[in-house]
Amino acid sequence: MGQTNSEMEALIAGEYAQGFITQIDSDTFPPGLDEAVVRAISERKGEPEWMLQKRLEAYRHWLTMDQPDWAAINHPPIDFQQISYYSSPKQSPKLESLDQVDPEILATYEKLGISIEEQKALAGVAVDAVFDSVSVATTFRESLAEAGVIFCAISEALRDYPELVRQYMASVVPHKDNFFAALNSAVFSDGTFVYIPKGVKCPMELSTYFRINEAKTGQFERTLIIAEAGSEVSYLEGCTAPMRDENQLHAAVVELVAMEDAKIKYSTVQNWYPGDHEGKGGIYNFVTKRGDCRGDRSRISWTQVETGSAVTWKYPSCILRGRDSVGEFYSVAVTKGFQQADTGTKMIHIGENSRSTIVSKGISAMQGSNAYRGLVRVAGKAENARNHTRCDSLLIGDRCAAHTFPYIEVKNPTAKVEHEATTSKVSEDQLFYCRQRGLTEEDAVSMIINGFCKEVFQELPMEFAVEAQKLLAVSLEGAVG
Amino acid sequence: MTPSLSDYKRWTLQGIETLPMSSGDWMIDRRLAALERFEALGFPDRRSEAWRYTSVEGLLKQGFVAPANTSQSDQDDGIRNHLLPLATVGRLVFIDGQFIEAHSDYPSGGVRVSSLKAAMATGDRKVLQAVGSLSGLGEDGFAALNLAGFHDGAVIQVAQDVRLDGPLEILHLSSSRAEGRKLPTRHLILMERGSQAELIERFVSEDQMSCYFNHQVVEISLAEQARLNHKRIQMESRQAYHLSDLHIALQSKASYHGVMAAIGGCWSRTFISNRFQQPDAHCELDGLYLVDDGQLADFHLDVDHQVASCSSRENFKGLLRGSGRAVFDGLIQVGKGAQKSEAHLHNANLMLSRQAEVDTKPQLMILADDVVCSHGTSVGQLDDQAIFYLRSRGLDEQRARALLCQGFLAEIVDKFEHQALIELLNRRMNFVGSTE
Repeated sequence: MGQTNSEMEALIAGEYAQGFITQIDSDTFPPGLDEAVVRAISERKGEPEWMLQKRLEAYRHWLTMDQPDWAAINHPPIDFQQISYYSSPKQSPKLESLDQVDPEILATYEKLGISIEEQKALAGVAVDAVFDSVSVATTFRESLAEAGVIFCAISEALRDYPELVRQYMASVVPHKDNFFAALNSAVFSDGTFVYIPKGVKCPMELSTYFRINEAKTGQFERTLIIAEAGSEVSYLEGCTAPMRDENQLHAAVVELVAMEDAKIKYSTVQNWYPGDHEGKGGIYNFVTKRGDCRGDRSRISWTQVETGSAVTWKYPSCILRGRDSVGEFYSVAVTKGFQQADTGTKMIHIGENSRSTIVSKGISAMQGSNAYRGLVRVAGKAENARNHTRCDSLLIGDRCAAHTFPYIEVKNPTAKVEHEATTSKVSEDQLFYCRQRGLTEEDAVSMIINGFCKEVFQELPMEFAVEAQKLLAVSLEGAVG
Repeated sequence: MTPSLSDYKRWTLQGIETLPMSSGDWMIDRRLAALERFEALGFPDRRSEAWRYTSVEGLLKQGFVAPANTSQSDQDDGIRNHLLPLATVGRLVFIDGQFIEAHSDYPSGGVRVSSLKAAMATGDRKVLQAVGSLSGLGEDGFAALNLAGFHDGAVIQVAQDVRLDGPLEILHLSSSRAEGRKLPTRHLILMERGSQAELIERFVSEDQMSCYFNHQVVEISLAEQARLNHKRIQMESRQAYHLSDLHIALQSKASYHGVMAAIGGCWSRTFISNRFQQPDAHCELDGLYLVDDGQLADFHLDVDHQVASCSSRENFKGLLRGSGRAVFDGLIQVGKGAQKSEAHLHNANLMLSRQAEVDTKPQLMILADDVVCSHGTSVGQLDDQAIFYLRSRGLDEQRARALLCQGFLAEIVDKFEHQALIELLNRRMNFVGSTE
């Protein structure tokens, strides 16, 4: 056990002991961050001058900021000069066959029911001609182009649609927003750009999965999704398979813009390396996600299943500017081992009749720590705003922790805001009932937990929901009983 | 002009110099240590999480540096106007933060009642050592300054297995002489094993427009199986500032039930810290707040379950009218190993006007698994259908609204039990007179 762990850690840390990698460092910047690095990133990507200026502005502002310390998380201080801020995507190491992949990872794939071909893709094994993700992506792109949807890397978008990017980028998450957003704005490596034209219903669900080999987005991902009036899109991020990654710090920024009657559904499954059994290693995931319901009757829905990362710090939010706009947040966050999650949402009601729903389910097992932190703000002009929040925490084991920190600020007398939260362990009565019906304790617990998360899972796109359920079971393996 | 920290320090040092020597050097040392802490902390600002929604700027601008002049004593101050038909077993009267023996009477059997000033004069070490034992030097600048500068307060000790027949009352009256002054007091309530008592505290002022700063720290210690029922009604003048810190510690099987009402003052904040020190103790906190134009009411609860098998229940309701503002922060903590804890917190707010604002923040911090904890909070309005129902029964709109508001708060008001208190509250809250 101990050995496979250290192997896994080695994989994550980028020290591939197996020695199957050639020339890993040839196009990676040396660690450290200064203006020259920011300029060099921009130059590498062939960005327009204004983008460079934006990056520099963000960098200069970042220098004046302090790392936030209010979240219920503990980690050693991050030395930002020890991080390399650019690594060319073409060097992602290729393995020759699945035999070279950590058997523990393969066992997990197996449990998740991932096909061999997908396994290869996920593990970074060179994919054969039959299942060439590039060709899949190409057919995929053709049908999108027919609909007029733009779905590409943000660096590509900067080249091909600079005006569009310029108009929207940083309009939802300005670089001054917070420490990690400022850092991301300065050094973002790549990310996804989606543009749905007026009245178009995106013909398929957009998934980063299809871009997996095409562009390795790196640690400072930037996503921008624009849904024009009357359009609709569903976007899936991440995948259920454990993600191997050599970067410890991830600071992504996601911006969504929904115009009149537009609908954006953003689903995330995050299962990055959580660290070993002693809590060493693991990804720090500091993400700023925000959606702007600019138009009347627009709708933004966030769904997330968070099972990975050593530290998660993210608050997907909605600014409900438009009349009758709707914001939703559905979340399942699982922490076990020494994982820590401080996650939640902000619903800022500005428009009349704006409505929001928050459903957050936290599961803490072993020494895991899980915090819901949310803000519901009803501005003075938000007539008839409505919010309902439900946060439940499930505790498994006597050393775990669950916290709930909701903030409710109401400045309009027509608002109706409700918040409820519960914290408890798996009920003895429920367990007894299930055991009486012949289920083993583990099956019973797993069934109860799935029931606990059902409200969130049913918001996920179908295939995702099935995988998420399996993922949950795998994640909690060994934590129960 | 807003006074500086050194102004506060100078005044406090002057106060310490006038203390009777009999109170002991160590008491003075503790005050000086608190003063040092005050200097280190300063006054809280909105960057501090506990003060995020409650600005102290207005309070500091008033410049309450000088304590009330305590040399004048037993004037009548219309004390009779504030007495209620309560079947009390004893009454302690404080005018401008000073204990007035002439207006006070209290039982002797099984209860020791005195003032902190008297304890300092006689050097009653047992009593004085209890000062600050629960509050520490102070979690914020205000609390530290209170410890450094308090000049009086009540000491109530209920002996083992003594059960009082009726309530004890502490009446805090602010006279017109309190104008522009601060009134730093501290109370010590020590309930010995198996004792039972009921305590009523009221804060009233002679002049409804006088402006002063009443700051009180109460330390309540309940030994095994002791029970205290504590009712507090804050009805300060509409220009007054009121800050209360309550520190409650419970030993095994002890039980504390607090009922709080905050309806006066232009700025009031009540901080309640409840610590379970031994298992099987129980705590209940009920409260109501009502704010009108220019008022702020703030309640901060910190219910700390660090030992197993304790239970707590908190229920606070608020009514907001005019440009009133309310802040509610209810924290429930369950420590490692505090299994079988049960805690439920509820906060409901009725917002009746356009200019009102409410900020509510219930919090759960749980580090044990075998627990049942919940919190719920809501912000809403009167139900149109309920108004319609009452109107269809012949009530006019105003009456209907008043009845619904009264009904909303009734569940808390009823916890004051005594008819005189219930009537006082309902009269003072003036549901019918309100135009909204």
